[in-house]
Amino acid sequence: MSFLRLRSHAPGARAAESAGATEATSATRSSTPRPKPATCRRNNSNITTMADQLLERAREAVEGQIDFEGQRLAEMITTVVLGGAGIFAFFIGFMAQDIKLSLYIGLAGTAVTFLAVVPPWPLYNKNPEDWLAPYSTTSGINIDVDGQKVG
Amino acid sequence: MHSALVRVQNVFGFFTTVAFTVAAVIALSSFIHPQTPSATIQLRNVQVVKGRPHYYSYKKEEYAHIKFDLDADLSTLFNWNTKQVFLYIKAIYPSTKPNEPASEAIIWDAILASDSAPWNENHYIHPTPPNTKKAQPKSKATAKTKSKTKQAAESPYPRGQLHLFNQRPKYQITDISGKLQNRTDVQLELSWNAQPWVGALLWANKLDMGMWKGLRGGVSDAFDFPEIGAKKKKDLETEKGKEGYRLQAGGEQPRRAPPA
Repeated sequence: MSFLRLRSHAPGARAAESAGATEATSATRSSTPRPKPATCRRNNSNITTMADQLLERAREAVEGQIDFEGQRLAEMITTVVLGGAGIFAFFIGFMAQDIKLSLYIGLAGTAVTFLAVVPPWPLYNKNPEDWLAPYSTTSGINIDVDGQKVG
Repeated sequence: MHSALVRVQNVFGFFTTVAFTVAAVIALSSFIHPQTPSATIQLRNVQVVKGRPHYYSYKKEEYAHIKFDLDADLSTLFNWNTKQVFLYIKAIYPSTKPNEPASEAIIWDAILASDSAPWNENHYIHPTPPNTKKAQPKSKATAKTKSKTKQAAESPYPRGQLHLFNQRPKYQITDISGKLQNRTDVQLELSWNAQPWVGALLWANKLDMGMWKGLRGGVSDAFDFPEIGAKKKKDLETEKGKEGYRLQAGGEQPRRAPPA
């Protein structure tokens, strides 16, 4: 499984891979709200930003994103714990000549794996990838979106 | 693995792989459990009577009623992967036409559940051997109070061992032609189907496969179906009740002395 690069938004080699996905996600994650139509902004800007923040928080909780090192670690833990539980289940059951013991060991191992891997434990977010600094106008590139300077 | 949903899918996907692999290994592991089944089966009594397939039928058919003795030790069929063993006795008799295969009809069967399936409702309850019947008036009272909770009776022999004397058939058999009297070279044969927890159903009873020896014995001597009314009609009852636990009720005593 390939590790998705979500946190970094950089030109060059990084931006080249999965450009579309990165662009889309980073747009939702960036702290500066997207420019909105003038009428909307004037009347409901407070409500809109509050709702956006709430949504953002809910999405963070449900998505449970972890950093790249965490992804590698989660992958490793899945393989080791589940595979080990399978081997363990067979041999313990075979020695005890009890197939139900095998079943329960296997299911318990699976439950442990789900618990260990699925929630975004702090262990998986020890190496956060920082955002690059935004490009200054001195870089010489000007990007205009609807008459506004973006980059 | 970047989001929780992807991790759930990933873990579950690998879990199915592990579960399937472990199941396959368990299924294969039963082949290293040695099997040495053996059985002897003897004809006790055979009668042929006329009857109707159902009450309103105008057609009359001939039915064979076969009683038999069976001594079988199938306890090695039960390994850690065995759920139950379906045991059955076939009557095999050659066809009237030379180029047609022999006919087979099941006269008796039983489901032997393994110890790992204590909730199995079809558990065969072995009838009490006749010589021990009188020797337990005292234990009956205690047994009754104990058994009142769940199980009606306990088998007197360990799982997989059968010692049946003068056993009634569960099924009377007839031929497709409706004629059964005076047929020759009938044989009774014991067969089984081992049903595992995981893996394939196993029907091969006679083959030697590695550590599995085929069934030794289990085929009776050849006998003939008699003419109708050749003997006085005595007991033509088939086995009734759940798994035939009422075996010896009203049945005759076996002619030969049972082994001690």
